[in-house]
Amino acid sequence: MAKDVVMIIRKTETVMAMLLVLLLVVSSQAVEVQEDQPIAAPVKEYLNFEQIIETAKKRVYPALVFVKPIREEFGSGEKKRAEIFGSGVIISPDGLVVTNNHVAEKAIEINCVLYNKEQVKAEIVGLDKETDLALLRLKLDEDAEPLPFSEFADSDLVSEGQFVMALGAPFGFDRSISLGIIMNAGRFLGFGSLYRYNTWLQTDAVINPGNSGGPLVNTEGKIVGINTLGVTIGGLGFSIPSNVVKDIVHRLERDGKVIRAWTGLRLQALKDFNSNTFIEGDTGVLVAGVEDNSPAEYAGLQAGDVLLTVGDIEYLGKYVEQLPSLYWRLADLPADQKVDITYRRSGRVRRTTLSPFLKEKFEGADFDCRRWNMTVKEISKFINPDLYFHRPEGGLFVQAVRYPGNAAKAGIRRNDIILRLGDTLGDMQQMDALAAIQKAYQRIISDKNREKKVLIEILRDGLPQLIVLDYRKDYDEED
Amino acid sequence: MKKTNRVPPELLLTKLILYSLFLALSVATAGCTWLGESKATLAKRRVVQQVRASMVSVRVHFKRDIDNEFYSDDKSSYQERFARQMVERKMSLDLGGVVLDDRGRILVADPEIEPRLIDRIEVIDADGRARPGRLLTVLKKMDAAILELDDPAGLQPIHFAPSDDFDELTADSRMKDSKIGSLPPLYLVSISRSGRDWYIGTGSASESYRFNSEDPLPQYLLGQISGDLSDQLSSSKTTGSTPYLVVDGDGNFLGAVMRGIVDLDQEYRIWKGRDILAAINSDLRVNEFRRTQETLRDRYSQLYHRVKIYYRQPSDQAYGSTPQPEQILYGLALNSTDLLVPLEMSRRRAKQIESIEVQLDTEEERPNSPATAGGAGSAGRTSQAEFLGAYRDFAVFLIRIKDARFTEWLDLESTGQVGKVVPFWTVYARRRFGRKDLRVWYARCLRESKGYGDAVHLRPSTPLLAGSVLLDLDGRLAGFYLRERPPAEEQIIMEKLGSEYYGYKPQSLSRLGLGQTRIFPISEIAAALNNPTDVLDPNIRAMTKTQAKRRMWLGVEDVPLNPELAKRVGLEPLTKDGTIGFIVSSVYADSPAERIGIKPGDVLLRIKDQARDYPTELRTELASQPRGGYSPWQYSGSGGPNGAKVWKSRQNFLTEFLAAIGQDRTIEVTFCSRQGPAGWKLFTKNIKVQQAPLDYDSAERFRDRRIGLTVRDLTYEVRHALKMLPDDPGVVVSKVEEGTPAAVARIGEGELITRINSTEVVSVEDFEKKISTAHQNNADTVKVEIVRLGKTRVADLSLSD
Repeated sequence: MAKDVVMIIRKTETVMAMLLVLLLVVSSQAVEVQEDQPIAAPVKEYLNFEQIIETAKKRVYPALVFVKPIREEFGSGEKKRAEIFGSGVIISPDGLVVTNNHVAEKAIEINCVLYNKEQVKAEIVGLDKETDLALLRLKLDEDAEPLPFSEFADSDLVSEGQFVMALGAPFGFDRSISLGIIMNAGRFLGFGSLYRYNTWLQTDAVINPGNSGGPLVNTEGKIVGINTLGVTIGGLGFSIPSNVVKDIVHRLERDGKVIRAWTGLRLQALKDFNSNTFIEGDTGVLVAGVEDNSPAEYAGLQAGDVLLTVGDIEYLGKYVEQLPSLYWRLADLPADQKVDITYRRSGRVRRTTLSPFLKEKFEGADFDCRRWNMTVKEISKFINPDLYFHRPEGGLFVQAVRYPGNAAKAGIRRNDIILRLGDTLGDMQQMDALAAIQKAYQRIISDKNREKKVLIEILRDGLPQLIVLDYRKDYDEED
Repeated sequence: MKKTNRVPPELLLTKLILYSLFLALSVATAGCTWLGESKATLAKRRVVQQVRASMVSVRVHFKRDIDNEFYSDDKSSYQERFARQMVERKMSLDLGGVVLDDRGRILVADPEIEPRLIDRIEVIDADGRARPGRLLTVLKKMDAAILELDDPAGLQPIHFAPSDDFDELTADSRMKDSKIGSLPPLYLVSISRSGRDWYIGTGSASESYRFNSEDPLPQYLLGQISGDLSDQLSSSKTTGSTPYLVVDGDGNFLGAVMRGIVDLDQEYRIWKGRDILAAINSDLRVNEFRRTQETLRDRYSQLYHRVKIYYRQPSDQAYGSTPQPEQILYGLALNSTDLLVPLEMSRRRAKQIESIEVQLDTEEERPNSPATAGGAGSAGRTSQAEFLGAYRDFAVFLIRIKDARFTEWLDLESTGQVGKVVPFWTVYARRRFGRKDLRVWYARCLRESKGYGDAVHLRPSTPLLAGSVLLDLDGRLAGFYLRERPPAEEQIIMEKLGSEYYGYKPQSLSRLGLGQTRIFPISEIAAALNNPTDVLDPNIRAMTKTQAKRRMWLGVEDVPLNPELAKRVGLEPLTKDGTIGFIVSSVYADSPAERIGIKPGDVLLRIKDQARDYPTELRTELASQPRGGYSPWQYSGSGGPNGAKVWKSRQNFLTEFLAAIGQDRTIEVTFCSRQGPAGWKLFTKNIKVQQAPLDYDSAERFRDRRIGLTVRDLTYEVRHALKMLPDDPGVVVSKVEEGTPAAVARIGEGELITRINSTEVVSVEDFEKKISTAHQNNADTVKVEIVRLGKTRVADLSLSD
C-alpha cells in the first residue's frame, strides 16, 4: 500500500490549536476553456449543478499528476529511501508541474503518472520550503505533444461559500476528487517562521494524506489553490491561494529558488485577538521583537515600536490576516540596500533606514552518521530557534536517533547539540558545520584499525557533557 | 561415663545427646532390647522416666473478638502484633512447663503477653489431659513466670535435689580442672513440640560451669551448649519458649535454663531451683502488678501532653513523599516550659514546621475518664510552642511552650535503672480512637548487644516501641528506648540512598545498619536532658518559609561520570573505574566552586565533612535517577524542546548533601582537573559550606490573583541558563492560571516579562509596584513585553478580572 507523506505540525499561535496533516494530491487533464464566465456572478435561475461540476472536472482532470518521489529521509535516525505519494498539477504545455515542497524535497528521483496512465520522470525546477511549494518539470521527449494544463484563477476573487473541488491522490489512490465550499478565503495560520507569507483558503472539500500538492479548483475548472494541509479530524483543509502560487512559480522558474531578504523583524497585529492585545491606531504594524544581530536591530528598532512605512509604502498590520503580505513585502526588499522606514515609539514618529540582509539558507542540511545510528542536521535559526538560542554561533544537532542503535545506547537524544568530536580529550575537533562532521565521520569509519568508540561532546539543556559512543555493533547487519 | 575436659565437648555431645523419646515407647521394654546401648544412654533414659510426669505443655489462647486491641499501625507493640498474627493464623502459643509443687504451680518461660490479649491458658499434662491455668507470678530475677492451676490433682511435682550443693559444684569445676572427672554428671531435660507430638529431650550439660561472682543475681552460668540441644534452645520447635531443666543422674531438679542469654559470650544461665520456689510468693504477683500498671498509667497521663505540629505543604511540586500537614504526638513535660518528644524529627521535616500547639491540660485526654473530668473551663486549653531542637545523638526533640507553664514534669532527680533480667516498666503514649492511649507494660533485658563505638547495651527480650519511657519496678525513671543517631547521620543516609533518601522512613533506618534503637539508661542522657544547649543537632531547626527554601551550594551544574567515559578520558585510576565522579558542566560566578578553582570539565570525586573520619565518595548513582523510581532531582531541564523553562532545578545531590552537612561547616572537596596532555591532577581544597544565593525555588515572588500571574525574580541559575547578565531586567513567569487575563494574553510559564508600558521591570517588587500603579490609575490594561528564549513579543495584560 502506498506510503503517504504525513507531516504533523504544531500550530502555535492560532486559535485552532490543532494538529494539521499535510497531504498530497495529484491532478491533470487540461480541457480547453470554453467559456470565460465567472461563476461568482449572480445567478437568477437554478443551475445545472452536475453539469457545472462535470465541465470543471473535465477542464482540470487531465492536468492532474500523481507524484511519486523517492526521497531520502533522515527523521528516523538514519538515511532511508522511501517512495511517497503526492499530487501535482500541470501548469504549462511543456510540462511544468506545481506540487508541495514537502512532496518533492529531498527527492532523488520523481516519477509522475499522467492522465493517460503514462509514467514520466520529473526533475526539480525549484523548491520553496517557506511557502511549501515546489516546481517540477516533466522530462518529456523532444517531440512530445503539448500536454493538457490547467490555469490559475485569481484567488483574490475567491470568497466564502464558493464551490470548490479538491483533486489528488488521497492515500495514494490516484485520480480522486472531492467537493466542498470555501469556508474561509483568508485564513491566517500562525506557524511562527514557517509559512508566514500567505493566508490560506480553508475548505471542507476533503483533503487527505496524498492530496498534498494537488489543485483546489473552482467550478470553472481553474486552480484557486494548492492543497497543502488537512486537519486530521474535522475535515478541514487548507490550500495555498493561487496568486501566491503564481508568484512563487514565476520565481522558481526564473531563479530556481526564492530569494528573500531578512530583516529580523517579528511582527504582530495591532489588534491581536489571539493574545487580546490591542494597539491604538489603524495603520502600521507592531514590532513584536527583533532578532539579535539583525538589520532591524541595527536600525534601532525594538519590541513595541509600531512600524508605519517601509520605503514610502504604508504598512497595514491591523489584523493578523494582513501580516503575511507584510512579511512578503519585507522579504522582497532588495538585500544590502538602504530603505527608509518610519515607526512610532512612545507616540512620536521616528525615521531611520533599514538595510536588509540576504536571507540565509532556511533549513539546514542533514547527514546520516549511519554506523552511529543517528542523523545530524545544521541548526537553523528559522526552524530550530530553541537550539539556536543555546548555540547562536551555529552548529549541528542530532535530528534523530535510530532505535535500537549505537547512539541511542550511548544516551544521545534528539536535539542534543554536537559540539566536539574526537578520540581523546586532547584531540577533540569542533563540529561547527556539516562538512566537519562528514569529514570526521568518514575518517573515523574508514579507519579499520581503531577501537570502535568515539568521544562526543554535546550540549543538552544548555550544558555540555561528554558521551562515549560505542559503535562496535553494526545494526545494519541485523536481520 | 568417663570424660575429661580434654575431649572436645562437641564430639561428646554429638554422641551423648539423645533424641526425644516418645512417651508411649519409653518404659515398657527397657532392659531387654537395649543391650547394645551405652551406659550413658541408659542413664538418660532413667532421667526421662523420673521427670516425665512433671513436664507439661502450656497453651495460651488469644482473644478473637478484640478488634480494638488489634489496631494495626507502627504504634502497635510487639505483643499486640504478635497476638494479631496468632489470631489471624488461628494459632495458640505453646510453651513447655514443669510442675513445681503439689498446689499446681508451674514454671514457664515468661510469655510477656498482656492479659488483655489472652483468652485462656490451658495446661496439658503427660497424659494429654487439659486443665485451665492462670498467671500467678512474674519472676523478678529470672525470665520466667509461674502459672497456677485450680485443679492440680494427678500432677506429679518435680523432685528437688536434696542438697544445695550446686554452688560448690560449679565453683569447683572452674577452679580445679583435675577434679572434674569425678563430678557426678548433670543432664538437661526439655519438652518440645513437633507437629502434634510432644517430646522430652535430654542432653548432657558441659562440665565447664562457671560461677559468675560479679553478677548481682545469684544465678549460674552454664557453659557451652552446642549441637542439637543448642539449636532447640535458640529455635525451638515450639512456637514459644520452654525451660530446660538441669537435673542430676537421678532426675532430681537442680535448676532451669531459660531463654536468656545475658552476655556477649552467649552463655546460658542456670536459675537455681530453690530460688524459683522462694520467688513464687515474693515476686510480682499478677494482681498487685496490675494495680501498679494502673497507677503508672494515671501518673504518666499527667505528664504526657498532646502536641500538634502543623507543617507547611510544598506549594508547587512535592519532592518525594509529602509530609502530612498535621501530626499529633505526645510529649513529656521536662520542666515548667519544655516538652520532650521522644520521636524522630529530621532536618527536612523540621524546617517545614509552621506552628506547634500544645495542650496544657492533660485531664480530658486521660484514658477511661469521663470527658467532663477536667472541668469545662480548662478543657482544651492550649499554648503555642516553638521547636527548640532535636538531639544530635538520639531521636528526641524538644519544644517550648509560650505564655504558659506546666505544673508537673518528669522527675529527673530520683531515678532508677534498667538491669539484667529484672522486669522494668515501659510507658508509651500514642493516639487511639481520637484520644491519648498510654500503653504500660513490662519488659526484660535478657541479652546484650554491641552497638556504635563498641558500646555494649542491654537489649530487651522483645522489641519495644521506639520512644518508650522505661521505669524501674518502683516507678522511677530509668531510661528511654530510642533510636541512636550516629554522627553525621543524614550524610550517611544520603551516601547510602542517593535520591531514594526522599522516600525513606525513620523506621527503615535500622535496615541500613544505621541508628540502632536501644535502651538509653537515664544516667547516659540525664545531662543532655537537663542542659540541651550543646547537644542539639545544629542542622535540625525550624525555619521561616523563606529560609526553608534556601539551599547550600558549591555552585556547579554536574552530570555523573560513567565507566565508559572514564576509560576514554583516562580517569579510571582516579574514579574507581568511573564509578565515582560528577563531571562539572558549568560553574556559577562567585560560587565556592569558582573560588577554589573548579572549572567546567573538572570531575568532583569526594567531599569530606572535616568532622568525619572518611570522605563521601560521589558515586555516580547518587546523582542518577533511581531505577524505576521518581527522582527528586532533575537531571535534565524541565523545559523540553518546546519549553521556555530551560534551567535545571537546583535541588540536586550536591546541594542537598551540603545542606545535610550544615552551613559553615568546613569541608574538603577533592576533584581532578585535566592539565593538558599531562593528564589529570588531583586537588583537595578546604571550603566552608555556604548558602547559595536565592534560586528559582526560593526567589522572591509575586502573585496577582486577578491577572492570574505569578512572577519570580530572575535568579543566578535562570540568568545563567538564559544567558542574561546580572543587571538585565525582567521577572520570570512561574505560573499562569487558566482562563485569566494572563492566560488570555498567551503568557507562558518560563517566559520573561521585561517591560511594562515600555519601562523596564527590574524585580518582582518593581513589577508589583508598576501593576499597582496601573491599578491606581484605573488603567484597564498594561502593555507587557514578553521574552521567550531571547525572542520578544508584546501583549496587553488586562488588569480587570
